[in-house]
Amino acid sequence: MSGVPLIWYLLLSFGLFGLGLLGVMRRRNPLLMLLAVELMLNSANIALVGFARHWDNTDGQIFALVVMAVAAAEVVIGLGLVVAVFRQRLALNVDEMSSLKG
Amino acid sequence: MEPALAWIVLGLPLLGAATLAAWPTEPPRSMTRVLGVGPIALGFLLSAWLYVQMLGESSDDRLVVSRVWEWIEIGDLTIDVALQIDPLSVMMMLIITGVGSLIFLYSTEYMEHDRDYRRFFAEMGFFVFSMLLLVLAANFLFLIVGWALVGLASYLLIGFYYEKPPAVAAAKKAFIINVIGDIAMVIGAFILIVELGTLDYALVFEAAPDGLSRGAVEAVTILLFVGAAAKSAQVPLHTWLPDAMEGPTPVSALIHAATMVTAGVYLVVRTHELYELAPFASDLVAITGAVTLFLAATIAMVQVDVKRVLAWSTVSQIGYMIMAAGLGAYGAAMFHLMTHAFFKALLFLSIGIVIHGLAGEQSLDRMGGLGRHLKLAYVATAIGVLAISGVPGTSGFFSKDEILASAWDAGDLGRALWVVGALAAGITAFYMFRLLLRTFYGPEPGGGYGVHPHRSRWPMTVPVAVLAVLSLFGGWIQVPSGWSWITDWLEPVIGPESIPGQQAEGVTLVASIAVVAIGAGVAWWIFAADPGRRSRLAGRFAATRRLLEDGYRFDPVYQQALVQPSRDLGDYLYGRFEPDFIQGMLKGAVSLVRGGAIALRAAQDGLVRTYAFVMVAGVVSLGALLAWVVTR
Amino acid sequence: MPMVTAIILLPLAAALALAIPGTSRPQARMTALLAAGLTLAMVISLTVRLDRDAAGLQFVDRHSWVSEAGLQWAVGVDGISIWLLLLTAGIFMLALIATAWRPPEREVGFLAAMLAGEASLLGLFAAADLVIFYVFWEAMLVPFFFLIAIWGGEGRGPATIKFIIYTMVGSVPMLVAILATAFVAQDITGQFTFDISELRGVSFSEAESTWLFAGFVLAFAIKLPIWPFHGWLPDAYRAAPLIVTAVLAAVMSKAGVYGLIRVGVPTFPDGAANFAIVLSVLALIGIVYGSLMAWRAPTMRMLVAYSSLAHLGFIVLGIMAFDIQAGQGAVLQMVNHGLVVAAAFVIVGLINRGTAGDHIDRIGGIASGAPRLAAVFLIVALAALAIPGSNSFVGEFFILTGVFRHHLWLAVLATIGILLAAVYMLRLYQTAMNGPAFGANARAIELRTLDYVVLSPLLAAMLAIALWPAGIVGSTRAPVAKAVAPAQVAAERPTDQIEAPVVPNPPPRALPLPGDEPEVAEVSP
Repeated sequence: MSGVPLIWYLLLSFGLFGLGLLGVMRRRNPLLMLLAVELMLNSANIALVGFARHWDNTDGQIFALVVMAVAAAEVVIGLGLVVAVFRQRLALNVDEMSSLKG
Repeated sequence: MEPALAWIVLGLPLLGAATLAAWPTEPPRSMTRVLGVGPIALGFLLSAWLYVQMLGESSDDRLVVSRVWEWIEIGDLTIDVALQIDPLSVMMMLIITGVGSLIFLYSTEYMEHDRDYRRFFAEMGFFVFSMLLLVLAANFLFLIVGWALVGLASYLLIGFYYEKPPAVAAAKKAFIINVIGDIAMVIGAFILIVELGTLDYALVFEAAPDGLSRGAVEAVTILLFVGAAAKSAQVPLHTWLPDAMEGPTPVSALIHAATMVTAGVYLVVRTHELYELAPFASDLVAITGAVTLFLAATIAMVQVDVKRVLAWSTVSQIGYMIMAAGLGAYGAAMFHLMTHAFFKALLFLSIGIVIHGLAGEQSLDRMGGLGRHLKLAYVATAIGVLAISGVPGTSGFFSKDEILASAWDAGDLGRALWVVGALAAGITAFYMFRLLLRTFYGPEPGGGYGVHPHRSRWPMTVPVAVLAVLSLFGGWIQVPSGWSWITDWLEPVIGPESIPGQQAEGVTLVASIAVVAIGAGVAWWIFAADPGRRSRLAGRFAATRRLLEDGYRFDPVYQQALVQPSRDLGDYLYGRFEPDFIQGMLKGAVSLVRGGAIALRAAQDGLVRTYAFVMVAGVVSLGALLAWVVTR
Repeated sequence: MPMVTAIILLPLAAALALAIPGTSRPQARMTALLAAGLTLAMVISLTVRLDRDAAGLQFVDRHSWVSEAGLQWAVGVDGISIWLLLLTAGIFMLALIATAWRPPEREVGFLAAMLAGEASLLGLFAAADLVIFYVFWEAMLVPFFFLIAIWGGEGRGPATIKFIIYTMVGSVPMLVAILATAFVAQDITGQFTFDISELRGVSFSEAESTWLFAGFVLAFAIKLPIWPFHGWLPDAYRAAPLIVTAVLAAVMSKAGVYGLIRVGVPTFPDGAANFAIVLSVLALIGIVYGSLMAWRAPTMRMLVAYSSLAHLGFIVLGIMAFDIQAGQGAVLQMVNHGLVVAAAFVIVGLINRGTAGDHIDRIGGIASGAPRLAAVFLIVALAALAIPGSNSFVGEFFILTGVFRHHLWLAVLATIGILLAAVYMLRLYQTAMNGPAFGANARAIELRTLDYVVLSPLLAAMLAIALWPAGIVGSTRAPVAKAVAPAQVAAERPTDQIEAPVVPNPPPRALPLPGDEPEVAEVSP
């Protein structure tokens, strides 16, 4: 089996991570921010799997499964919050959700 | 000798006063009279019995210290509740209870119409208790306690008519000046404790010659004298006594003539062993006495309120006693203390008959010719005037002359003070005859008396008569070149005292007769010989007259130099310093914290994006830091 | 019987019982009075059984909790603290009786808070361990917060916050200092402990001693208060309900002084010696400042509040003189001041019955309509100005004697305070009682039977002390000598004045030391 070199996994991971980060920082729609957070989490998964393959150790893959579970839980809560806020205010713009301003 | 007698004499007035005070309602008059006069009269009898017992003892056994319980033991110092029974304290006991009984009896009639009859006798009884405590105390601590309680009694009695603002003010003034004296004595006690480790008279006097440095003993004696000056109304702490005349007349008689004000003299005589080690202080005492006796005599010349004449004359006569004590003539001082108690009480009580008879009138301007209506008062006052002026044969003559003669023999200072004393004796004769003549002689005031001057009954006349007899003949117990019962009696306490020599006695005799004659003569010339002369002369010397009427302006000076600045400082502190600085300090701290919080709040703008950015920036910098650390 | 622990826990237990929902007012009153009465009885029994000549702690209850961290429950009493315990138990008993007679709104909560306050003060005075001391120091703020914030008068919100925060500004450095003390002492002796008697004699370096003392002294200075840290005093005294103000003035003010003489001076003698002059001068300023303020204060409460500043100044002078006579005088004065100020506030409360508000200049001539009150008021006023013959005089006299012995001018200047005390008390008394009558309903003010119930114990105690001060002072000599001895050494006093031997770096408690008084411990069954 020809191996894909590790560096490609990492480059993909960093790239996806950067895209996700940009998304979180720039998007105003909370749903899209959540999407971007998912992207960041999955990019971490890719890196984990890559390393698992490189060191021939399944720990990384197992940890990726854990991350996926956490991501799922977090998305549920996040979507619940977004729906609750939407019901109150009909806005989907994080710039307007600033009542926790100090 | 039975010490328990002294405790009983001390305790009875307190018991009487406490019972009267605690009675739930105003008790019946007869009960008040019994509980008021009884303890004092009984006290006099018991004191007399104690005196007789003491006579039976040899001279060395006449000093007994009776301890009852240990009051405190603190550090290395032990103080007991104890009384010292010796010739000096017994002499004071006799005077206090003796003259006191007469005045109490007089008061039962004089205060008859007063709503607060019970309160009067309770407060008077408390006074007698405190005064006895003062003279019987066996250590400086209870001396100071008695001293302060006497001041309290004086405050209560001066302010007896507490609904009248002048009485309230007079009481406050007396109390504050008394506190100043208390503080001075307390500081003196500090020195004694720190240097000698004890406050018991016997131990202090024994240890003082070796244990106290010259500076320390001068300091102690001067401090004690400040206390004495405050209590005995010596310059410059004398300003409270004339105002104290706001109290009822019997109060003036007992407290501000016969007993309390003499406490200062008692103190100097009691602590004479310390004064003998402190020549500077003794001279200071003598000079203060002389200055006071002269100043007060001049002020008395122009007073119009009869009680104020007597008040200033008291200040002056005590000056004589203080002067004598300062010059070392303790026996003479105590002798005059006793005779003064007689004739001053007599004068106050007989003037009281006049005031009582005129339903409260106290001004010379509205008196005259009362000799026709109040014969007893006239005779009694005349006897008092003779005695205080020192007319030969009267009690005052013997005691005052002994003071002056002792002064003559007491070195250069003594001789100088003799001149002052002799001159003042002339002035004394002048103003006392002025009092007598303007009250009882001559024409009645224009329009006559609205109220017919009413006569007084036996509780008032008998004490006056007794005091008149004592004032006339009481001096014969100590005659120069003859016998000296008082000095002999006090010898165990004051030590052997030199009796004035022939020359001193002779010069004094001549001088005193001369000045009395001149003083009385001038008084007669102005006030009696020609009825109109007084008003004609009144216009002269107006400025001097005003200065004298104002008492040399001591009061305004104190007010402006001491009282008002303190009051202003307090107002400034309360109104500006505390809110601006103290509270300002707190407000400043709060603003600082609040300002910092507001500054930090800017970072919390409520936007998720900002927070995300900050998180990322933080992670990046930490990562860079970590990388940098790891690669080193 | 772990008596001291019981004394602390009983009021606390009663407070918790009152917190049970559904407690009725009569039940609450009964419980509170019973608990306070029982506590007082227990304290009295300890007073009677106390060994008056012993210097060390007696009736010690000690239970180790986390021995590796040096945490333990250790409480006990000695000749100094027993009188503070008695004062606390007595004053709170009277305060509860007064509350029962004129109950406030939400009485149950009030009583619970008062009991909790009593427990924390008792715990503070009985603490034998620094951690216990600190716990109770902080704990006492909780009930007083509620008492002032909920039941207080005008301005209670800001006053409470000022009071609580300001006090805590002081106690946080104290916490740091406590921890530091334990660690530094461990470096010196090898043993980690917070026990106060074990820390006495540890030879801290002068720098360490000074810094550690500084950490404690701020807390004490604020609580006492010492000028100029008294900013919380006027507002708290003004806003709190009268009974609470009385308790604040009578009991809580002693906490700071007690801290000085129990913890500050014995444990950090070099530090205390370095701070002595500064503290003494501040105390002197407090005496004069407080007296002047009291003189010009427009209301009775403010007068008593500022006069407390002055009286506490005397007590601080007495302790910082490092003199046995002054120290004994100071302990006596702590009790005296508590009694007199409590009586003064009772009188203020009585006068408030017949007047609208507190202003001194708006009333007059009450004595004509209320002579018995006037008489009692006079007695209390005279005690407040420390007239010779009163109980307060004894304390002040010996404090100043001791101060005079070492710092002559401080004592002489302090007597200005005595003169000013006469001035302001006379102003209060004469303005309110004498002169023509106006501005007050004297009949409402005059003493009733119930008033005697509260006043008589105070007056009786004052009279007893005036006649026989040896009763209290006798038991204070040994503990005071022990407390000031290290500071006397640090201040290089002549050895004939130092009475208690100072054993440096005492080894662990297992061995009793020669020259150090053995503790009379009560072994718990």
